[in-house]
Amino acid sequence: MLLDVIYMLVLAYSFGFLYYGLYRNITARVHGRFGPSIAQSFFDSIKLFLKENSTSFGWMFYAGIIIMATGSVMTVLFIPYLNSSDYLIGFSPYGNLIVVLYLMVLGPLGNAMGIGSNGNPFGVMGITRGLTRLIGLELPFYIASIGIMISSQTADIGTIMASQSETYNIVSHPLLFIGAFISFLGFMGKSPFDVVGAPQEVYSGPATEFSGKFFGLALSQSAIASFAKLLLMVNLFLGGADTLVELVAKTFVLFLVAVFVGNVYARFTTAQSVEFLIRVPSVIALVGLFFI
Amino acid sequence: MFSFEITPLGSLFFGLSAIVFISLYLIRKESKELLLYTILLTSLGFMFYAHDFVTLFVGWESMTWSSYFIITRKATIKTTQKYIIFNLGAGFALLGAIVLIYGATGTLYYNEIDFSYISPALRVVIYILVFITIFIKSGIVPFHYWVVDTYEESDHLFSAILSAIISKAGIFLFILFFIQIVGTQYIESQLLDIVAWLGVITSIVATFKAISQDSIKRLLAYSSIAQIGYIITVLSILNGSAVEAGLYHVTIHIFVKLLLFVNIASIIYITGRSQFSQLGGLIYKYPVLFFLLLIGIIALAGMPPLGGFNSKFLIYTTLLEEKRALLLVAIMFSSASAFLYCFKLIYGIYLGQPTHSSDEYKSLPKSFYIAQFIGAIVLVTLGIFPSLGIAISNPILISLGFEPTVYRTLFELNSSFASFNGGMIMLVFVVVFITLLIIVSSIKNRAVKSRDRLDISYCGEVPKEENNLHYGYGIGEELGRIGFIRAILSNSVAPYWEQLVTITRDSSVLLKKVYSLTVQNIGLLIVIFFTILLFIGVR
Repeated sequence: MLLDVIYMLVLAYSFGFLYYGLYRNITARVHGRFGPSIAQSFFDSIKLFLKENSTSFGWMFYAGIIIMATGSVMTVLFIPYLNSSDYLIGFSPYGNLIVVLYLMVLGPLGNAMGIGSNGNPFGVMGITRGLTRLIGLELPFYIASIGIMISSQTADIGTIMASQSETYNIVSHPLLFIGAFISFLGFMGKSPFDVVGAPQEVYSGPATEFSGKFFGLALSQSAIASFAKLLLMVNLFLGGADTLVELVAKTFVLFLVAVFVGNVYARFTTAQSVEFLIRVPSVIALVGLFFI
Repeated sequence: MFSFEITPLGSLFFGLSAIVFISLYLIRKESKELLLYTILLTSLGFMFYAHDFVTLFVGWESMTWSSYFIITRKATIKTTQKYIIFNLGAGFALLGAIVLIYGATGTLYYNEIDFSYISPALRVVIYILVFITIFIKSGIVPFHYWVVDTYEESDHLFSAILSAIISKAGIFLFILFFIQIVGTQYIESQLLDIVAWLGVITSIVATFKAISQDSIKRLLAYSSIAQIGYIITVLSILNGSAVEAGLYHVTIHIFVKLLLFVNIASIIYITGRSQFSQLGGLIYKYPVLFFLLLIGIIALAGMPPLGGFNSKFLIYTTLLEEKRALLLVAIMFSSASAFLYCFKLIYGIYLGQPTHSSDEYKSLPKSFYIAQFIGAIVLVTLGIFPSLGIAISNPILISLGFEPTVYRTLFELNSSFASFNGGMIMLVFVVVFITLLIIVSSIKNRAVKSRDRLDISYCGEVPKEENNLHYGYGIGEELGRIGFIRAILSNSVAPYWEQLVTITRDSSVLLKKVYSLTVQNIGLLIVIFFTILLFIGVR
């Protein structure tokens, strides 16, 4: 069990950073730059752990960031990696899709606690944007998940994967997939829904007070969390994977589509993204719900 | 005259009420209101253990009146009038339903009433009257007009009773009347659909209203309304798992609201302030209160690994089993939006920058902690042993004629749709948290501690005292830019009810002319009287 958990985390960590490196590379090529090496983000995170912290804001700041990382690690541990396999399943027999949907939010809430306690108004601005965006993001994803749960008559992720042995849910419920995929883009922090991180506005956004090992932890957990989200999409819509190679292939395809879409679109404001998410993907997913 | 029966359902509600009352008694040992509190608890006992409608009605009305006298001690006249008029309305609706039932069946004992003898049209009238009673007491939209002001202006500790117990009287009546007495086969499904959607609309509207409040108690009041909305929606399914989910959420909500309201009462006691914009940064001064509130909001948001998740899970799976996808979508949407007010609650009070100096703070009596610790311990315990709640609700399910839920261990929560192991989730959470804490703490890199609270990244400058750094109380303002949320926030039921007040006042002026015996009115009455006589004579 312990070994299984360690393997899962190592895989999530390394693939998370590999994909992040690729994302930076592809984005650079789109911009006409060369971009950093693929492993750069991984080295960055190790380096950040060894750097000096510029400030520390007391125990809640510390605890908040650790709760955030706990949320991401737990999410990945409650999603099975492979179809009907005895290993790489972590704690998934003890949970289900509803648990995972809530664990995905544990990270952002822990983050919110930590940033709230550092007293920086710009950080809280980012958190407020994030939680407001979450209102929009969750709706299409929930609709799609409800559709999948009703059509497979279970909330157990392993059974949902097994039920797609003949046709993948992406084929049998394409509208649900489109709805979920658009909100998945937002969950991954990709454009047009990336106003929360505000990468171009250095002084606002959740990470404004992070430095040293805290920033390193924030980066590492976000890599794990994005792998968890890719994994969930693959399990819900692409029939899961029988082997690790298949898993990598499927997550990579999803990731590539997300990166390309993210590179094409300009950024929405918070209100715009919530309104868009409610008007377009939610309605698409709702229409999909009627076909079940 | 009065008849009582000790039922599992009544015992659960009365037991929970007693826990809340006892924990609040400990805070207000010498209060003059204790007599009223005792009358209130007794009337709750009447209501929960009644075996006939007269006893139920007496309990219901004395609950309304004893609360009224407690509310009048603090609230303004307008608020108390609102409270009593709405609740008298509820009482009259209940009385109307009771009279109609007696007229049709000739008995008022629960076990002797047979709804198959009542004509369908009359049944619907009775159901609507009972639903109006339930909706007013529980504050379902559009009958929630009295709730928020009453919660805000009442004594801080009494708000806990209003939210935790009194609002549950409606839920009790729902289960008692529609499941125990009427039986599921005599209710039109269209009526239940309307009720289910009213519950969902209530939860969505109340959630967004809650986010936009500046007053802490108003936020909690709206959040109570939203939570009751979930319960009403799931109960409208009227089967065993719905009752189980509803009762579980009732239990969780009672302890969450006990914890939160007493926590807020403590903060108001200490600081004398009750608005988010006037508070902030209290975490390092009151870490225990912060931690208790944290447990409360995690449970309120329904996050694992605490007990709040269990009842949400049961509500979701009940709706999934019945394939009520749209209802479920709406409930999950409202539940996801609730994260925002949960964060506002904790940020506005404890996090961020303080808005004033702490010189004039009063010290908090230890008794304030007891109620909060009771709430926190229950929520954590239910998180680890989710099926404890099932063990408690199973006797109720059996007494109502449903199949009890089978569970293997107390750690697991099963439904036909899925199951999860609460103990394992808690264990993983604790182990992962501690492991990460050890890893991060063991990295001993050089750290500069922040010099003071103004030592933050502030666009390369040092903020001054007069800069507004407590941003979080404004959470929710930007929601007004989103179309449909703006529609919710800018509309209110107040104008409709005030219109009703105007119409009633105008018609009562007309009515007053009849019985206020001035010379003109007597002349007018004589003329009318003779006209009628003449009319009859001509015919």
